[in-house]
This record gives sequence, structure tokens and C-alpha cells, in this order.
Amino acid sequence: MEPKQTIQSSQEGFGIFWKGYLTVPFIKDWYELSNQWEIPKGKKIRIDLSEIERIDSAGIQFLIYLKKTTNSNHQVLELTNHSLAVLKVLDLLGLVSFFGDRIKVKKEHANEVEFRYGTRKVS
Amino acid sequence: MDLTEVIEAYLVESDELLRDMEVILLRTDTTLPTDEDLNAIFRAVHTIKGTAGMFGFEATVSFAHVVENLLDDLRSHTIQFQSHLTEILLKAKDHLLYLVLNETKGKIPQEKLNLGERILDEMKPFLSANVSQVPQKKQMSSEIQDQTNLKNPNKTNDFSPDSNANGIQSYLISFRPNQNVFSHGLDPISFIGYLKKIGTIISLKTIDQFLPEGNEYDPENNYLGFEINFSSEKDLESVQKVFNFIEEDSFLHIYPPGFTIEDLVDLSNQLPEEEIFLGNLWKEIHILNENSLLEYLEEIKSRKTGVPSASSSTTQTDMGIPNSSSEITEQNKESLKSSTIKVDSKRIDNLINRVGELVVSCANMNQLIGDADDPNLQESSLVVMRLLNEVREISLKLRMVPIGESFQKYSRIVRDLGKELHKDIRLITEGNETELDRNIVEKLGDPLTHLVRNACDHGLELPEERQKKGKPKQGTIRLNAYHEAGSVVIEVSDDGNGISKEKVWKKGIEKGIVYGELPDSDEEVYKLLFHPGFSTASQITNVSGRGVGLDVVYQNIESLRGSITVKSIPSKGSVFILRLPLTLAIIEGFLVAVGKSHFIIPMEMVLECLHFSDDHKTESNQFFALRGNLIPFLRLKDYYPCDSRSDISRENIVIVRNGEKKAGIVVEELLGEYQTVIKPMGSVFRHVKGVSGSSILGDGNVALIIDVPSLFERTITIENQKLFSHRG
Repeated sequence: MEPKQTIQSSQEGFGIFWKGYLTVPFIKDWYELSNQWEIPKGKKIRIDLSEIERIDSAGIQFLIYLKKTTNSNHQVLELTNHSLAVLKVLDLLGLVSFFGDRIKVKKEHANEVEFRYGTRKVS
Repeated sequence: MDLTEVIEAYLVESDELLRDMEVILLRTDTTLPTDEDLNAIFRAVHTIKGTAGMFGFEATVSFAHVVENLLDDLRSHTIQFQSHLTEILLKAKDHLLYLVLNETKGKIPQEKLNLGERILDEMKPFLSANVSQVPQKKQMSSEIQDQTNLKNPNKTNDFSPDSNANGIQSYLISFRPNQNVFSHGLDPISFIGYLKKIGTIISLKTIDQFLPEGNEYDPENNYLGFEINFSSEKDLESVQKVFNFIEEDSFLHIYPPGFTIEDLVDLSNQLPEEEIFLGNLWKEIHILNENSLLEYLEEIKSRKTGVPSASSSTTQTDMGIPNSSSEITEQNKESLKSSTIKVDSKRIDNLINRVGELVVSCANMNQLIGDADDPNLQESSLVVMRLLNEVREISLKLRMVPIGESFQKYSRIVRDLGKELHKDIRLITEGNETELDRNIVEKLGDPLTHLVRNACDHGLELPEERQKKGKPKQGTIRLNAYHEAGSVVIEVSDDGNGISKEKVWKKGIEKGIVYGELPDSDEEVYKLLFHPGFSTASQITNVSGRGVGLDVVYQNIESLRGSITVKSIPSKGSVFILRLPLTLAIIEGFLVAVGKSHFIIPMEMVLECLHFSDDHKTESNQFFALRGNLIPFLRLKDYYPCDSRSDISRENIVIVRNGEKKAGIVVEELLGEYQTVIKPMGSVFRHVKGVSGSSILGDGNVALIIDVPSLFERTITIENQKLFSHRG
């Protein structure tokens, strides 16, 4: 599914809504979309991931890249409304603490993620 | 407080105590120990035993226990001190140090335990005399021993390297997919996900160290790697099968349960990440625990250095002890101890690095402020600079330690070698309070040991021979340290045979290193001693009176940006003079420029700067005349490719001191004093002669730091080659 991006700016920063597959075939498009952001230093970027149905290694790597880059640009990246696909990868790769976002797991998905490691909680 | 720190503190403390014990014991060679001395060594062994007991280090406890008994009897005068005891107690001290350092890492090998038994056997005659005299006391001591053991019946398992010592009980999977996996249609995550079907991922860490930022990032390349702690009932083959399709496109290493610390060290050598980074990562995923991480780091260190070590001295730095520490009374020492704190040396290194960076950024800022032409701004930047300089001075001093501490260990070497070689040798140390960067002091250990051993072995004659020559039977080796013009000088001298210039030169000719008549310059002859080919021939010891491996000493000193010179008077003795910079981190330099290239000459070497006019020039183009003296010079642009500016009408010459000689370096522009942080050269350029490092200037440009001695040495070599090829 082709990437779709909508940006809404507010006082504290930018809300970005993503829809599509965050996977190898589309990863360059996502990258180019992110290059279009014109976000000044010190601002918050909030990406809504609720409509990311698929994500693979390239996708999660891209999110890590964004986190690191925004960090060094003195911006704050916040990922919200993670879809189940995203949650599963964060869980598997132990990246919950790395991103440090609030995670909401829907009741019906409770059995699909464990978060046994990769959180700041002592496992 | 975590366990690593506690063990580290135990190692540091024990090392200190045992070092003090050695100093006292060495004194007993000449004078009988005082009650105070005996109390002090008793306390040392007692303290070590107590702490070792807490950790359950049984080998250390049981050995220390017997030594403690002997010392207890000595201090209560149940037995009298005899000179033979010095020897035994020194051996006991060495063995105790070995136990302390090694029991923290694992079991002590049987042969070492046997050695301990033999040392205790040597003590027995003294102890058994004691038993017959005061049987009750002896019995009491063994009761104490039982209690000590009871207190920690099986505690060993908590602290000594745990069950991991026998192998780690899960799979370790190191998975680094290649950069191009995505283009081959492979998704590493799906392979990792599949692992869950045949077992449990206990922990996993994603490594993003090599993920670039900015334009270097290509979203279609893979930069991630994974370290996985995996538990499974399945065999290795089944686990390997999971990665069947991606194996070719990856670095994949799977250790089945039962792998050891050594295996991890081997693996760390194959992985792209730093060993320490990996160690911490493996700790995070529960492959290692506190103890085994320590063991892992020790193993890395010992492989690198070739010696098993738990170098405790590196973790402490004394601060604020006045220079005249030798004059401090015992009482004052006690009160001083309480006012000093121990700081991990890494923290201080970190601080100095940061201050270094700050110096560079401030220089940059100053340049910008200078351009801005705002007097207020300039004034306040001056204040900042002054404060920064003070901070820099203070932080550099934190790392300074008196060299005396490290001189101490040579008493032991000299004593042992003297016995072995049947020579009577006295070691005199001077300038113990001279302060030097701790990093340098550490690196000086090997070269100095070498020089001291050489002096004992080849420098000094046998007592009979000395008597025949009318010298005192006892030979003297002198270690002397002092400050001179921004550097530290350390002299290792002996009153032995001296070095025969003729023999050295003859040997040099035989080896084909030199030819021609014996030159007048001593320096040229003695330089042969440091020639690699020269020293590997062990026969040389009989010929020249100087020994094996001086080339290594030379390299070590050179790597510290130091120099080494030799002076010798036949049958009177010789002296090796080491000149070293005070610190390795920051340099006071003199900034010069040739064309657009900048160079820094270490300030302590600069004597004066002159306009290089025609009056100075001579026909030879190798020497110039300065106030009636001929001084050799070289042009920097001849040695480094720089775009020389044609509009420069005048040249300048910087007169530098190269050892005790003067020489000139011709440059185009003089830019003045410059304080800068030394950045080491990258590994590719590390062996470039004539340059000792680089530095970043305020405007972001790079300046090379000139290594004056090696630059001139290189010049001489090139000139010689020209000369010989011309002749040929």
C-alpha cells in the first residue's frame, strides 16, 4: 500500500498521520516524505501509526533513523497509536525503551505481545 | 553499590597493602623491622584475609591465615625476626598478590596452590617452634579459622564467578545481516520471529550503532544487527536451520549452551563492535552477569597485554597531596588520607577530554568574537578564557601522580636480580615527588624495568671485578626524576663498566648497519644500541655491555613523544636519559604556517624566532649562521607537500632545541603561541615520521603537530641516503 502522509501543525509541534505499508518496496517514498517536513528545532513531531498495517526490518530501521535524526536536530519524536504490526516488531526487537513512547495495547491484542525484555522494567 | 565496584575496591586495597608490605620487607634487608613495621604488615595480611573471607575466596583466606599467624607471633615477639624470614615473607607477599588477583576470576590452578604449600612449608620451622612454645595460642588461631569458614559456609557461589564458569546455559546468537539483504528480498525480522517457534527469546538487543544519520543513510540498506539470548530444547542444527536462507547474506554466529568467556572474547574479535560495548550488551541480555563481565574484560585485557592482570593501580588517583609528601609525618598522612577521595581514572580522563574540547571551542568562539569588534564581548571572552585556562590546569593536575610510587617497585627487582646475579647492588631513587601524568607513568613501567634490569645485568660488574678496579664492592643504580623546561627527565644510571664506543661501532659494522671510521659523536654510536637488529643478537651483551631489547624501550619512549639519550664513561658507568612530555592530552604549541597549511611546534622546544634573511644563509643550504654559530636547518615545505604562497617575500626561521642541540625550521608565517588539544593520528597515519599528532584549530582547520626530534632524524637519514647513493 502506497504511503500517505497528512500533516497538521499545532502550537506545540506537528501531528503527522501515516497510512500504508512501512516496508522495503515503499521505504524510499517514506524517506522522501519525511524529507518534506519543514519542522524547526525544538518542536515536537507526533506520528500516528494506527494505520500502519505492515512493517518490516527496513520500516523499523527507518523509525530508528527518524528517532536518532530528530534527536540530533533537537526535535522530539513521539510515536502514538501504534498498530498491532508495529507493536509486534517493537516487542520482538526489544525497542520499547529505545523509543520511550506510551504504548496502548488493545484488549483483543493482549495475548499477541509480551514485552518480556527491552523495557526499562527489570525482567 | 554493584559487585564489580566492591571487587574492584578489594583489588585496589589489597594491591596497596601488599605494596606497602613489600616496602617494609625490603627495608628489613638492612635494618630489623620495628614493632610499627610488624604491626603494619600484620594488619595488611589480616585485612586482606578478612575481605577475601567476605567474598568466600577460600584459597586466599587459607594462605593468608598461616602467614597472619606467623606475623602475629612476630609482632608479639613469640618468635624473633631473622633475615631469612624476609625472603620467605616476600615470596608469601607475591603469592598472596597472585591469589588476590586471580581468585576473583575463578579457581586457582593446582600448580599455584602447590606453590603456596611450598611457601607455607618454608614457614613451618618458625611456626612449629611457636607451637611447642605456646600450644594454646596456636589452637586458638585454628578456632578462629574454623569460625571464618563457618561464617561463609557456601557463600562462595554467590560471588565467585558463578556457574557461568562452566559454560553459559543458553544459545547466544550474533546476527548481522549484510547491508544488501533487503534487495535480496530478505527480512531479518521474520527470521528472528521464527526463533520463537522453536524456543524462547530470553532477551534481544538491536544494535543501531552503524545506522548513519543525514545523507549517508540509504533507506534501502540494512544497518541493524542483533544479539540474542535464546533458550531452546532443540539442538544447534535446528537453531541454525532457522537462518538457512539468510545465512549467506549475513554474519551469523551461534554458540550452543556451554560456551565460555574465552569463546565470547573470540567472538568479540570477529564482530564489528568494540569489545567493551559488546561486553555491556551481553550483560544487558543476561548472557553475562557482573562477575563474568569482569572476567570477560580481564580476559580481553590479558590477551592484549599478554600478561594476566587485574591492574588495580589504574583505578585510583590521589588528589591534593602536596609535593613534599616525603616530609609528611605519619600522623599527617593519616589525616591526609581522609581528605582525599578515590576516583575512577576513566572519569578524570573523560573530564580532561571534555576540557580539551572546550579549549578548542573557546578558541573558535574567540576568533568569531575578535571579528565582531565588540569590546564588551571581547572583554568577557577574555575572562572566560582565563577561567578556562585555570580549569584546564586544575584538571590536568588531577591526573598527575608522583613518580616515586612506581620507583618503589624497582627496589624489589634490583634486590632479586642482585641475588640471582651474585652482585651486591644498591638502588638510590631521587626526585620521587616529581609529578607526571598517570598515563605516562603507567606506560613507563616496561621501559624503566628494562633499563634497570640492563643496568644490573650488563652495566654493573661482579663484586670481585669492582674491587680489582678499586671501586666499592657494592654497585649503585640511581633512578632520578626531575622537571626541566616543560618536560620530565628520568635518568637511569649505574656506576658500572660503561659502554665501549669502539666495541659498539665494531659490532655495528659487523652487522652491516654502519660503516666507516668511528665517529666523534657519541650520540651516533650509542644510537646503534637501539637498533632492532643490534639488540636481537643476544651475543651483544658480552661485547658491548648492553643488552637485549633496547629497541623496544626506544619505541615505547617514542610513542610517549619522548626521547632517549645515552652517556657513558668507560669504567665509570653509564646513564640513560629519558625526556618525556608532562602530559599527553594538551600541548602548548607555537603555530606556524607554510602556504595554507598550519603546523604546531611544541612550545618547550622553541628557543627563538628570526627573520630568515640573506645574512643568515650560507652556501651549503643546510646550515645557517646565527651569531657566529652554524646551525642546521630544514624547510618545512620540503618535507610536507604544502601549497607555498608565492606572495610571501620573507621567510622566518624557528630555532628549536633538539635534545641538547639547536636546529632551525624555516616557515613562511609565524602565528604565535597556541594552546591545543592533541588528537591522535588515525591508524593509517600513525607511523608517519615527523608528526606526533594533529589538532583542530579554532577555524576548523587541521594543524599537524611536529615531532621535532624525529623530523630531524628523518632529515639526517634522507641526507645520508643521498650521500651514499651519490658515492655509489
